[in-house]
Amino acid sequence: MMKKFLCMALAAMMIIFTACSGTTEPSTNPTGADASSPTANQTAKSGANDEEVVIRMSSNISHITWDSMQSHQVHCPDFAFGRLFEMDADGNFDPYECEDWEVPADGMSVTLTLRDDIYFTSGNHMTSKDLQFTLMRPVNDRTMISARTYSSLENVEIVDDYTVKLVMNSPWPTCIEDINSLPVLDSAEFEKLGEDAYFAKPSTAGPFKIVNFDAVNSSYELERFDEWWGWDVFENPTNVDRIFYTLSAEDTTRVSALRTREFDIIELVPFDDTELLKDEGFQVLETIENRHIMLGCNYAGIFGNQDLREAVSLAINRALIVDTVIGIGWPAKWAWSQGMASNPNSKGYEYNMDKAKEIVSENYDGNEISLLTSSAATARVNELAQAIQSMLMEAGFNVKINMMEEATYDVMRSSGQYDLAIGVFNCTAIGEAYKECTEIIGADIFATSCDDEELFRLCQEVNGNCDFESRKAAEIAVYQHVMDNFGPYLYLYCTTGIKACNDRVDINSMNVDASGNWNILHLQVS
Amino acid sequence: MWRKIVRRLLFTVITLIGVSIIAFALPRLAGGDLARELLPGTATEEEIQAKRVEMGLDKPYIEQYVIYMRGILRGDFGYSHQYRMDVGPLMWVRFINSAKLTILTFIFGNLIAIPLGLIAGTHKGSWIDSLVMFIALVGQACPQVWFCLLLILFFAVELGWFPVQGVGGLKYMALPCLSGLLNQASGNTRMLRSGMIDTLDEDYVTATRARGVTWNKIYTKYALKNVMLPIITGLGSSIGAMVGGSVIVESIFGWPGIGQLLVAAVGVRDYQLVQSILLFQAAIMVIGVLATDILYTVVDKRIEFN
Repeated sequence: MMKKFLCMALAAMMIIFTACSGTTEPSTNPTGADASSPTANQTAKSGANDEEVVIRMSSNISHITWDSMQSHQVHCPDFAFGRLFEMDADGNFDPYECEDWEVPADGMSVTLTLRDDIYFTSGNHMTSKDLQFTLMRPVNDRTMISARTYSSLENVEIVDDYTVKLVMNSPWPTCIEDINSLPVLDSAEFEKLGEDAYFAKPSTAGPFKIVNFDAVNSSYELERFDEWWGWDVFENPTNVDRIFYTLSAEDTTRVSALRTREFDIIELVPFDDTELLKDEGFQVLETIENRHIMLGCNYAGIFGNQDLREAVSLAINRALIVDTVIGIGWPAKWAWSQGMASNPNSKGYEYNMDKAKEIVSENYDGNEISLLTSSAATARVNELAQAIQSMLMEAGFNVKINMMEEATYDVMRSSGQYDLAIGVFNCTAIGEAYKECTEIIGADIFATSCDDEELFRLCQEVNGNCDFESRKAAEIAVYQHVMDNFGPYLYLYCTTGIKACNDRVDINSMNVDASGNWNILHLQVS
Repeated sequence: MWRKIVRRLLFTVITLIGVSIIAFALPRLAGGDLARELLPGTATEEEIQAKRVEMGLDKPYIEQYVIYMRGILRGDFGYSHQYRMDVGPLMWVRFINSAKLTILTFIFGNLIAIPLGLIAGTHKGSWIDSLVMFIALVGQACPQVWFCLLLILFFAVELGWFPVQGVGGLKYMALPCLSGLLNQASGNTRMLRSGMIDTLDEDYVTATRARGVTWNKIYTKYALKNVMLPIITGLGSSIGAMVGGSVIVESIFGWPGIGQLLVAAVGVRDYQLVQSILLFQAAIMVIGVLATDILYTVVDKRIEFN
């Protein structure tokens, strides 16, 4: 009996060893991708094929989706789909797929002219029909993730083969920035295949084409698209031939994989690891992320009292949080990041614990305050919440931290079940505060129950304002009001994105735009 | 016995129906909203409601459950809005990934545990016994997260013997298996040692020895058979580990397994994915326990299947 058992065990081992070998034939997985995934796992290290320049990248992404290009997590659409415009580090837009555009002063229409030499990987020519199809999707499908952004768009008219005219139902001041986040789809292929099949292996028009998109194993592979229009247009285009991109959720794993050269570029590097990487000769790039960490105050509770809001603001030492808790970033001196809606003359947020204690002793009734936060909000959110709690308790508040997972946090915040809530807001272009003024503050999306009529009036002056200078002044007025009245948001700090790469990568060729995203256009790899 | 097996299978169906109800209810009771998670933070309540209608989440719970179970009976496990693909294939690929790790861990874990447990059990009180028990205790006490990171830093970064993460052949599975192996081997070693000590105290062993049978033969031919029953029990729990995956190991080593998938699905309330994974895990577990019980009767004729 024992012999039989041992024989069976040995046979099972042999079968498993055979099955687990790395030379299995490609098999179909749900996405049509190669199940012996051609990701960072290829036995060939970067550059093993001498004629081919290969880079392997990683980030902390939960899953791969095509829905939005507005996240730092998603590079595949950018590398593969391309963009209508190119944004520089100052937030200015330059021609890219769209070679010309016209935005009248009233903001009620925008005329876009495409280049005539853009082809998709399917071989189809990009025309105004594709652009019309792409821009009308969120108008026709209101449940699309970006549909809200396109609420001002009424219709897209075709003027000629390469020109479209966007017709608005209301002024859309951030039109150029917003439409730049939607990759142009190959309408013929999309209609032929349907949405899910199309996105399983999309027909794209960017510098790289998708070879394998493995949503199951969270990785993708891109290959140089030789027919891309930009190779002969831009100076010093990237010399990369192939890109492997893999999820790596754990920070230590991702950093270790860079150190073993399994990855060439990694993102979301923890601050604590930057010195180690520098000491080992890796290159570290710190970029402005335009992510603002803020504290929302619920006016329905005790923080309807402006004095108590002021006490909270006075009690929080933002510089200390950035220096000792987070380690990197910028303490908020203004209710927004540096950029167009900032006031360089702002005195910033004062830290004064004595004054905070005095206000608390005069106004606070001692009831427990709920500090709501999401465990996934930002790096070191646990420590951040504890630091805020500690500072507020020193001032005399009775604070309880409610650390929730993200889904529960979203429900609680949107229903106003909090007194204070740690929140994060990403802006897409440096200094452009339009959405925050009109949606976050103006529409009170995060249910602060703010009843400040003057604030809403100021937000209305931003809403639909297509005159740049006038809008900028209006946004400054909104934030000055927010700072003067300590609500509904108290801004804490602005985060920094840290990327790291090995010596194969010319870090200076990683062009970082105003949103903190880098693009591959000029990336040079040895 | 076949009649008993069939009856057991019928009870399995009832069990799975109960599991399906719990799997359906749990993510909904936990709060959160899939529609809200799929939309940006600035989405209005009207947009969220429209998304709920699109996904059928506005229907009464009973109707949603009936629709889901009808799909299950047709082999349709639903659609994952998070991954934008059918749940069945997604789940199956992830399960295979987890199963590979678990099977290897089980095999190597017992290849280490059996000899160590036997040596310790047959040399009770000796320095060998103490050494083996010390290693086993340390192995069981060692936090898995810490051990995983230690393996990465030592074997991958310092020595460069294995890759840090990824999916592929044996070399990619080595570190994840090692991390799970420590705990399993330690536990089985202690179990086998205890079993061997108890078995060697039995009268039949004394009688066998009195008849002149050598100790080696007693250990391998007589005592080992009785000591193997805990291993079979361990097989049952390993099936549980296989279907559940190890979230810690899969997350740290970037191994796309079913445990990691379940956690990600729960995080965004991907209801159909959560329900299907829980149901699938329960089915595998129940069938696995049934197979284990059958194996008992094969290994030890004294045990009756019930």
